[in-house]
Amino acid sequence: MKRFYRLMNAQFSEMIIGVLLLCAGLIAASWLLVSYRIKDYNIYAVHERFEDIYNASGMPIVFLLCLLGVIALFIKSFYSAYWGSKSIYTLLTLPVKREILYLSKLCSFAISMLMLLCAQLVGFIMAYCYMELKVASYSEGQFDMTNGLFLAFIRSDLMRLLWPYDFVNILSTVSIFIVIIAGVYYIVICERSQRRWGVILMVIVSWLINIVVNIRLDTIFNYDSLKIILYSATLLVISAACVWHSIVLIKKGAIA
Amino acid sequence: MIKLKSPILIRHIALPLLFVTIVIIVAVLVLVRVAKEQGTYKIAHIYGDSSVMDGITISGTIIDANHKTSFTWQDAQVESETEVYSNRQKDKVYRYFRGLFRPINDYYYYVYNFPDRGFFIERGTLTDGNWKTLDTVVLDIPVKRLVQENNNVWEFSIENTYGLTEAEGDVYFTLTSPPKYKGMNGIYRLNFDQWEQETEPIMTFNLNNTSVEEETGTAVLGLESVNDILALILVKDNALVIEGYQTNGAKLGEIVLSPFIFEHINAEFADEDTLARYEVRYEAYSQEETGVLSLSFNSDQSHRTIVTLQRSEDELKLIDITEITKEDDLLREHGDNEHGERFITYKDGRLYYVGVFHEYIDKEGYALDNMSPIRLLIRVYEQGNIVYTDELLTDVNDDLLRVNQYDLSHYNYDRAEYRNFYNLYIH
Repeated sequence: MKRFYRLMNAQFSEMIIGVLLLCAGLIAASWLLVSYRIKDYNIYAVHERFEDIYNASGMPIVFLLCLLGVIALFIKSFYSAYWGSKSIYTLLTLPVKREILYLSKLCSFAISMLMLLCAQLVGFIMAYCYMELKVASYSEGQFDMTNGLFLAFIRSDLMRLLWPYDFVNILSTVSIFIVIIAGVYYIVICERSQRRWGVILMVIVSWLINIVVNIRLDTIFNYDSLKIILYSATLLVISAACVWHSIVLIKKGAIA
Repeated sequence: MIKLKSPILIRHIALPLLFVTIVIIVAVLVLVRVAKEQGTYKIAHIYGDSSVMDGITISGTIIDANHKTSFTWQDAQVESETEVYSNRQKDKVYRYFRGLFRPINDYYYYVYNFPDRGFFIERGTLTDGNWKTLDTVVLDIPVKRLVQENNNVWEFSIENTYGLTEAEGDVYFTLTSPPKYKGMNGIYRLNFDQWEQETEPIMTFNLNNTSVEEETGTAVLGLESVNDILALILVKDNALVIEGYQTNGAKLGEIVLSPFIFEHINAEFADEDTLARYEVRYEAYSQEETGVLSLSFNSDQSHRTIVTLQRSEDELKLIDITEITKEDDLLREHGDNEHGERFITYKDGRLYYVGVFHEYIDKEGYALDNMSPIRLLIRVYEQGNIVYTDELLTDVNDDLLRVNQYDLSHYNYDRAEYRNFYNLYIH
């Protein structure tokens, strides 16, 4: 456990600055983009709801870019072991089990993802508070949305996807993030071990995630709890398969 | 890549950050979930002695596409419970207008008339606005027009879904018809589980219409129920006739109100201009706990007559007639009879009326009537006079934030995006 803890911290410290910068950027972007969107608000303006402002400000795209940024940071930290001093050989010869080596990196990636999600949450609330203060500065309550933060949470598509209310949707969100974390790690391990067909699996995963998101947003497919549970279970099974095969490949030393 | 230099941070950075992250996420999510029940539900007393509200409880729901709040209003106290939907509900899921698909228990019902093939009464579901037929009962009811008119000419009709009602778990149907129809009508108990068997009526009645020229005639406006009693709503000559029936077809009294004039049916009997001309699309409010059925006949936006009947041991009897006129020019009821936006009942000598009123800024109204602010009022009438008014203050009008009545560019046509009142009921 101590070795796992040390390794995880070491792996995480390689990404932390980049992740913190992305989180800070995401929070700052929430505030900047929302404030830009409402810059002309005054007592004569039509006031949109906060969730619509947040959506129209481009924050869902910014969040997606930050998510890709964290994934890029992870990939870079993984490949950095093959550059320069080629520390991958040092890592593989450490007196720890290969599973611990794999799990420490996986956990550091998962913590980075969780931090980004937390930054999204903080940014959303900060932007909401900023808008409330701005509107309060020139109005006397006629543009208030009572309990607006709660309403923004349940009315925003992005927030419903990231922070759902019920068990089925929570399971779905968790399974999507788990499969992204395990899958991205699996792709790079496959690439290093010359098993490029792992990419095909990830194409299937992307397709499944796309279907689940569309079912949950009720856009192309109709909402169906049973289908969401089935897709979530499939994604979790794929994640477990990715973890298992990744450990097998690392144990074989195929990534060296 | 920029890396940490401090050895202490390198050794221990992950756990504190993970801890802080989890604390923030949990704290925010707990706060948001607690906020679920923090909407405004306050009673504003407007007029009258509150003793008339003793023993009265009003319930209802506030619904939009994303959540539903059920509330109970009793003795100046309001309790609420909010449910967040797992997905966005589409507009037509819970919208019902009288005359369209009629919701009874867990299903919706609709009546199709195919000439020469009979009346097809379909039981089905409405999911995301899409109708799906589950079962069909076909009835061959020998009722026909007196004269086959030109198909290209508009002919007045009464929506057949007014003839559907439910009593003791069974669905009953009578064919609604204007006076220019003849033949033998009846009340049919619909058995959707054994639809291939011919459905026999529990009672029959002759429409007795003989000539289109004659000013007399019988029109069938609809069928309603309270507890186990069916109320057949008829117009005979210049009178409104309400006949009570048991579910085995035995008659339980008859109420005749005359003169009672309806547009398109017996308006020729209105020899006085002062007589109200009622619309055929009446509203029915059945209070199952007290066995009271209130029928509201609207003459226009400013006037309605409420006929209240009560089920007793051996008959359906008339207990009250109250005329209501508009109290305030700037408060109007919705014109399209949207189901659930109001409930009317009679108790202890008083008529209780809870309903949604749209607030207008001037008598000409808004550019967007549907998007005008709404108020939920309870009004109590005694012998035709208003004796009490209260208002339930809520946040529903906050949703109109983006609606500017003079600027249609911000109008969103999806009404499910705006909270509204449904399922109002007085206990």
